[in-house]
Amino acid sequence: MSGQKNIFNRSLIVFAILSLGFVAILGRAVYIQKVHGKHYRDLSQKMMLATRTLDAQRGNIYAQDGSLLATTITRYDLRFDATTSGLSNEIINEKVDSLAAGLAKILDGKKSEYSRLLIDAWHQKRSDLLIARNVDYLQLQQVRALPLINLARTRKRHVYHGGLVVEAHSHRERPMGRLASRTVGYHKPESRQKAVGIEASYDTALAGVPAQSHMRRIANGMWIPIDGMPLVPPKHGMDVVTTLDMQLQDVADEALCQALHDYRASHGTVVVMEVATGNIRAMVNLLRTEGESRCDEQINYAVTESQDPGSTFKLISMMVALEDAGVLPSTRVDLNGGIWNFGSRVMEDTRQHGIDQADLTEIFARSSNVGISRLIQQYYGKNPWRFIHKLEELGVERPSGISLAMEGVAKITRPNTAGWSDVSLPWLSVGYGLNLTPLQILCLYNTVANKGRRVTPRLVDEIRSPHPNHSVKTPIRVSNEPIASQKTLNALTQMLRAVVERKDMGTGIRMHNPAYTVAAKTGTAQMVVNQKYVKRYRSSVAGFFPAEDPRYSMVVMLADLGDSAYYGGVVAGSVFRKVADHLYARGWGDAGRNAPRHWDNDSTPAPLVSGLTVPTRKALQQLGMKHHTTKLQSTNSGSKGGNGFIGDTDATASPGVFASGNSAGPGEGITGSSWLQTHSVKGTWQMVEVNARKGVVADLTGMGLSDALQVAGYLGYPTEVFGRGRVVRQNPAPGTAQAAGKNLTLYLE
Amino acid sequence: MSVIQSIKLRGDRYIWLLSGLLMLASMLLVYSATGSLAHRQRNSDTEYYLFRHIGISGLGLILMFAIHHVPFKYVGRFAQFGWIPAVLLLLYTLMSGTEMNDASRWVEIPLLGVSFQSSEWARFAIVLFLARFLSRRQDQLDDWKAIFLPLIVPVGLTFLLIAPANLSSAALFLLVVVLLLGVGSVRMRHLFALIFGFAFLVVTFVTVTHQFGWFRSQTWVNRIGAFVSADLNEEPEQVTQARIAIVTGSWIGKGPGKSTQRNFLPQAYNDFIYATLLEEYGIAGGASICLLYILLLYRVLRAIRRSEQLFGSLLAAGLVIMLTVQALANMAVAVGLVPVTGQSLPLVSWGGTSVLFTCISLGIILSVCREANSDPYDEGNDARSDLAYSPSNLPA
Repeated sequence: MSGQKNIFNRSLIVFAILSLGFVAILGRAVYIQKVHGKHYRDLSQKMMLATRTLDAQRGNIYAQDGSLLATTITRYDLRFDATTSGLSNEIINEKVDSLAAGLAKILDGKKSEYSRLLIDAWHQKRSDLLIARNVDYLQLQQVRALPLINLARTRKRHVYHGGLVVEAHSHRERPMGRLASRTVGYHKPESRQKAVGIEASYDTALAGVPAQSHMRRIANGMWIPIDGMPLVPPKHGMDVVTTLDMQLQDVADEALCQALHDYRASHGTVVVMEVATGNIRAMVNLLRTEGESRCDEQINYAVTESQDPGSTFKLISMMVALEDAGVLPSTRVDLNGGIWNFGSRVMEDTRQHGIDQADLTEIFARSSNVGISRLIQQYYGKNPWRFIHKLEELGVERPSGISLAMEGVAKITRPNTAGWSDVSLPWLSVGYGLNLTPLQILCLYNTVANKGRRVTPRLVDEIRSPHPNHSVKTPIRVSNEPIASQKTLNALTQMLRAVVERKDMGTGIRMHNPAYTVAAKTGTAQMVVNQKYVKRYRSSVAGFFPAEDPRYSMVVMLADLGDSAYYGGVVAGSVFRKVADHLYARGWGDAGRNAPRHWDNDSTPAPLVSGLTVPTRKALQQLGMKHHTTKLQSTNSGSKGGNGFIGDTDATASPGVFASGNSAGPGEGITGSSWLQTHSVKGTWQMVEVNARKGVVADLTGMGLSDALQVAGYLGYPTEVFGRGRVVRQNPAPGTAQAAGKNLTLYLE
Repeated sequence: MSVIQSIKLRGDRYIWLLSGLLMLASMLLVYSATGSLAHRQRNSDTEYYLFRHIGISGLGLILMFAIHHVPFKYVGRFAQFGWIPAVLLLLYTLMSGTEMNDASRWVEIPLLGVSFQSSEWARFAIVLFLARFLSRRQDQLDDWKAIFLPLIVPVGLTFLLIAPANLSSAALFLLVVVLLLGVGSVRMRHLFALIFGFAFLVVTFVTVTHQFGWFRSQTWVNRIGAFVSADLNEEPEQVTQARIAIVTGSWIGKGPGKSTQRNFLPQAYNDFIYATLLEEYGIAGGASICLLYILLLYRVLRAIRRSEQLFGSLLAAGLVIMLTVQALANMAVAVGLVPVTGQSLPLVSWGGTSVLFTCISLGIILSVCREANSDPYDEGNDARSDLAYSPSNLPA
């Protein structure tokens, strides 16, 4: 065999083997497809697509009069990316000065500082120089127009973002500041702080339903929304309308803060309640800051602080005596000069009066410890359980039922518990040895005021949805059975009036105002520190007014008072008086009759509600509403709305980074081109779909701020905003021809 | 020879056609697969990498054209000592090479500023050396000493210098050597002994380096371990991404430029270009590329049959084996038949030196074909006149 022939044969074999290698490769590829196909297809779906959720716009919290107590706004963090393409030494040198000057002006900083930061960032090739945190929408728009950053639009060949990186995040604000801030509470999902107040109790309603969108992963791990894929529309959080009267809240807040400072108390609370409905008209909880002339709302003492009530509890003891023991207001009791020994302990009246005999009204008006305790000891000394059972029947231990979490537990000492002794009953009768919160005391007084019928405190009036049928009025809860006879209740009211009106003996005479009648009881309780009574005092007043036809009940409590002044009638009484005077001056609170604006008012044309097309329509579908849509104004810019994500949903722009500029990241520049205007016409809703036409000012009335800003942004108008709520007026008027870049002013109510 | 004649394409027209088709496929795939790279590094200038690739391919074609006109006998001169500078370059690379993917395999060519994978040259030079060597030892095939001893220094040295930075290339190099020796009529018993010897060499090398933690031994062990593991959830990310590409590509693929996995596959334009191909063009596209390589083998085989010169035959066989083995290695990685390693797909992958060496190899193959074809119908070529490399023991 020749070498040449041999080589050919060997080549044939080797080449055949190599060819088989290619067959093996293809076989393997087919094998992977057939055997592992499903596994990898699923995997690819998972890796390429994801469902992102975005929190829906959280509902607002309003006072009864419509004042905004809490709302969500979007804020922006601004960063500068010096590595952005298109930046060069020339551009930096030329523009950095004017950019720094602009930033300094808009953000209220120093030009030299910005200039230094920007140049450093350029030299260090930093991509994340923080320029500002929490700027608002207007500031953002102004920054975008600054030199260098506005180059974003002028470069074509390369994607150039101008270096501005914007991170949006929603931010909860309380426009009323401190007022009722603790009652409103907070909800901070990003921190570990537990949510409290109305924000916590009504979280489900406020939060709404988060939006879901299908996102697709593209190069560099960026995610973009998928066109045409159905997204779960967000459902706006519902608004919570409280029963709070901010005018009253303000007065009570100021009076309490004043008293805390005047009497050097550590903290205190004021709660004002409407007798018949239980509506909480004011709920103030203040902590005084030592050495400063201000107070803070931090803890809801009214709801949580469960302590010995002291003398205000004498009303209940008296109620039991009158109702169960059959005594009369004229029944006389031996006061023994205001001092009496109960076994090992001495009971003393707070003020030396030297009186030996007094009727029950006087005992009550003087707040005589000896008188009340001897009375109760006389009738229940042998059978303390009967007294306890009567207290149970009166509902002393019942929680108030307010819709706030963490209510303090009411608890009475019982004969079968450790520590019960001969002195327990007399001390219980004057308000020691039991725990009640100020709000629970208030409920008991309110029951007396409301002819014996207990009313549950009502903090929230309505959970309001944009759609009338979905708004829910909170029920008023009043018990049917009076807790005592009218005779007893009348007698108690007379005694309470005596506290205020009997100048010769009443402890609450400072609350007396000849213009109207007040029924109230003062209380001064020693405080317990480390399970021992110390010489610190809790001063309180509970009562109602006007006494003949009670409209309001109120409790005032100031805690941790020193020796100088601590009597309830003086310290708490001063606050009580100021608040009651204010309500009297307002004609017993006509403010309360200013009915809140209802969406479901049939007699007047329904308020115009507008919203961007897609979310609004989705929301209506979800609510099962019939609606007609009419097209209006053909667009000459092409309908692009509907494929955005952040933009055209009602979701708050949640944390997510997108760059500025035309061709920038998702959620920008592609929304706000069409929206729905909604009119309610006797049951059906008429909707007009409106497309924006560039160069013509759109009708933004009826829209929420975020929607309005998106449409304005689409049309290219820098926007100035006044007020809160929905757009009611705008300047220029709808339909005006105006080029992009000119200002648009919105007035919200 | 007139100028016009010299400009004409000579040699096997089918090989020209096959090369052209492969390069065309390369353009489509590279343009698609460099998309994300372009986005990352070139400000979305997506054409940048394509134009560079076209430029290098054009240069490769010029080289190919020029070389195929050169009588391959001149290659013999280079073949004799070409491996010596290659080995020196390998040594230099190992000591001071540019690290890429944590492996020093590249040297910068001064002046040109091109990165250069020196093992490509070494492999190429050794193939030429072996072709020449075998063509001259056809009369001593029974004497294993005469066959193997002169090979120890060039082959052994080359292996040891490639292996630290690129074990898989070194192993493939040994495979090419074995196959070429097989083609060169080395006795089967010697061949098997050599295979065992090489296997022993590789295993010893890995064991020893791993023992001392030298070079990239941990990476090799990890990759082999990951490959042996049957658990789909533990496979390396790139293998998963490649398989997603293969599965989602199905039979006819997603269409040109529609690859999504190019964004996740490392080197979707090079090491994993076959996965990109399978994703965009499916099994159909994958089979077409395989067919092109098989046809290339067939055309070379045809040339070998016609050629009357042992050196030419061995040269063409050796070079085409080198190309094909590399192609198979690249594809096998993409479909997960072998552990992950970085081999480019000849003529298809993006990458400077690979394209150039492939074109040079094809140019030499074409030169062999040209003379093989022209032999029987002598057109005045000087193929026959040069008998310097004809075996001296040609049968009468």
